[in-house]
Amino acid sequence: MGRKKNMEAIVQIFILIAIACLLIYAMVSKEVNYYVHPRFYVGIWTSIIILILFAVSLIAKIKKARHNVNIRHYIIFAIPLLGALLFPATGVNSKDMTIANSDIVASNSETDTNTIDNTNTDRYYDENITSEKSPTDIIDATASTQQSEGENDEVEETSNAYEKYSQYEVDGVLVINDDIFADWYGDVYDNLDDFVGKKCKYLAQVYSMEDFKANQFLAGRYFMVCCAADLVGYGIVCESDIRSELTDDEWITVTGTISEYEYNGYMVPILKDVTITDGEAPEVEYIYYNNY
Amino acid sequence: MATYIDIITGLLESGKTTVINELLQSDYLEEFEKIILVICEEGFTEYDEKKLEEMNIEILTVENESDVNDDLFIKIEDEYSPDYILVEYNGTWNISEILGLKTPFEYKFRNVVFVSESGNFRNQLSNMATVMQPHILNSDIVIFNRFEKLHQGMQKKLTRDIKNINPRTSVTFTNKIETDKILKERFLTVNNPENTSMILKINLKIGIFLAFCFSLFLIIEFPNAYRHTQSMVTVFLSILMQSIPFILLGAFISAGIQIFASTGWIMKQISKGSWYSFVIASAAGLFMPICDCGMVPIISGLLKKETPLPQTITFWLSSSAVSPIVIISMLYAFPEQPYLAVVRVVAGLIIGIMAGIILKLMKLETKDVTKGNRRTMSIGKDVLELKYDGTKGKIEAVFAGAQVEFFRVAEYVIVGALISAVLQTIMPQTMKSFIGNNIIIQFVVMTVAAMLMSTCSTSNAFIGRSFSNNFSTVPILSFIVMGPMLDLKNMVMLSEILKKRFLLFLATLVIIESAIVFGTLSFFV
Repeated sequence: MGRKKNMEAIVQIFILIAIACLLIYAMVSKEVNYYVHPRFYVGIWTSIIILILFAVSLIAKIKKARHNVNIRHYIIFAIPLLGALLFPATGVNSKDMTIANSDIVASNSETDTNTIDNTNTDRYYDENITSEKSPTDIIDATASTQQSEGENDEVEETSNAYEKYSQYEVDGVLVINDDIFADWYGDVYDNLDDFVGKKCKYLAQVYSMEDFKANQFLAGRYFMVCCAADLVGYGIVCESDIRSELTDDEWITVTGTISEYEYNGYMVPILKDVTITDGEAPEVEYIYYNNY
Repeated sequence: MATYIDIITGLLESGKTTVINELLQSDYLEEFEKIILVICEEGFTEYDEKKLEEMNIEILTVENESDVNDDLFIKIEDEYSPDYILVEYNGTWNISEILGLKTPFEYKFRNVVFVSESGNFRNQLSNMATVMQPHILNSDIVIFNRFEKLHQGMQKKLTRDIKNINPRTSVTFTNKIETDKILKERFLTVNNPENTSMILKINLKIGIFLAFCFSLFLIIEFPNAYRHTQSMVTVFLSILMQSIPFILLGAFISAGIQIFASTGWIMKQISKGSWYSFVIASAAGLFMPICDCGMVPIISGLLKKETPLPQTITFWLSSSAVSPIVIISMLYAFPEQPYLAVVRVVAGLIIGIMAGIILKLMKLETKDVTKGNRRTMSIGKDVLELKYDGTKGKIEAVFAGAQVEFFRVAEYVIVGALISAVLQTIMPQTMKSFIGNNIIIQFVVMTVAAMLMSTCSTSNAFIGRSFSNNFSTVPILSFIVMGPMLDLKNMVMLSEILKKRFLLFLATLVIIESAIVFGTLSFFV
């Protein structure tokens, strides 16, 4: 004996549960960090609860038999579900290097135009993921915030951008953790003079740029504003004798002294006397832009 | 050998008995040896009992809805073991009752036919929507009879009414069952559903195999293809992930608007249709602190409630300008130029209000630009089957409505997100070559970017900021302002309710207005 069921309700329940499970998995495994900014955590947990409630409310509908239902248009939900299963976000190494690679070419052409252009915002060269959104940007914002604060401070007391970070100094070395990386990075570019000669240490990834010298590479991190669609890599030029032993996107801890370096007509920071030690990929690989 | 069950349903006097009589006399049923006719209603046309006896057809009468229970088909099988069952079903009874009955495994529901008289159909539908809709929703064929007096246009309208409820059903205007092409297809077992599903399965298998081969070829031919796809998928999923909370919120608000519509203050203001209402409509977004992807379901909810088009469009266009989140993100993206946030709000408001006024002057109305019949598309309390009354029922209605809305919108979000993810990975390289110092070219590029590259109204400011190397401030502003208005993802989502032609017109209008607004602005900056 058989009984006709409401296939539409069954398919809907399946989709809702599948989405909820994938989201729960992403949240629990922290893979969510590869996709969106942590400020979405609450929203995603709420969504999971609502999706499950939707599924539960549909259970009663299974019994309401339906004839000639169109299930085919639910096939579209297979795209994100399969996508999530077949292409797991496995971190920068396997995922973003490709984009980074292909975009380095692009960002080089950008840095070229930067030289011609004279808007004072293009001092950064970087690798970028969605390259159109590339140079300058986020960091600019932080940088400028800091800059204006800095100017205000200067009126009251002649202050030094470096002072802000003196509390992080350990044995004469400034240790930059992920939580202050974005601020610090902006400040180094904006108030380079204050940082020249200071020793800094931070966790970074190795990015290569086409127009760099053989012993140079970019030691930086990926920044996220909102979601993976706006990931951008930022870093500081490093000079090291063991450059050839480093692979792209490898995690390293760099310690070096900040100096000035002229790149494409602009003064940018460079790390000299670099000591490189193995770094461990952090649980959260990206730097999240946190100011709003 | 399967036993087919065909159900003929429709209201009293709709002509079901006539259809059944013709069916029985046609050669469609020749191949069956033992036919059972189940009658759930005494029609006005009596059956020719002599003829039925001749054909060896047994008649079974079901007088009460409560007799439609699990015993029905089991008893039939025990007593007659037929190879064909024809049911004349009562159009006021719940159709899912009979469809959900326990049946022997070899029994298959083949066709559900809804029969209606042409002249009265619209009248009946508006009076008894709850009763009739489920029957149409479950039907394979709708037969309109007594249509001779209808003019050509009316037939099209009736067809559209049916298609709005169930796009999959076939509509036929006929009095001759035997010669009708559509009926022939459905009633000759050669084309039975089993066969088509077999074909579908084979097609699916071939499709999967080809896709697999193709991806294998890609991976071997281009070793980077997998990683490229992976990053594209990551971008795609990340857009979806960040929009899910907003879509759900939007779905709840939209369902709420559709169910509590008359109570909303903003609704009343927008619905007034006066000039003053444009101001209210444009400022209303201030109270909706959600992203543009969450706004789309709200807009379609409003349109389904037939709010005046000009005000609704003003609300939609300016909502992304006055949204508190967007203003904050502007301030963060351009901290040294806070006036840009003000300019962005004002420009958005001007474009929104201007578009609304133009639409009003053109006397465009909601029903001219929306797809199909909104009455049947909207989630009415009557369509959602509710268990509770009062406040509890309303909460249930909003919840159920939000769930329906979620599935409706999610499809479009997926398509939109996929398009923008693909374009975002492909576009940047090609777009660079267009960049020049010519301000007009910059505007054009920014307009294209607004359509393709704005992921979300909140991150738009930051994306715009990143253009500052190659573009002047005003074109960048135009990108930030136009982004949510022209975003392809939003357009795809809106096409669920609005006609494509109108969307195209609206996009053109927005672009022209922006050209005027920002053209003027570039004289001052």
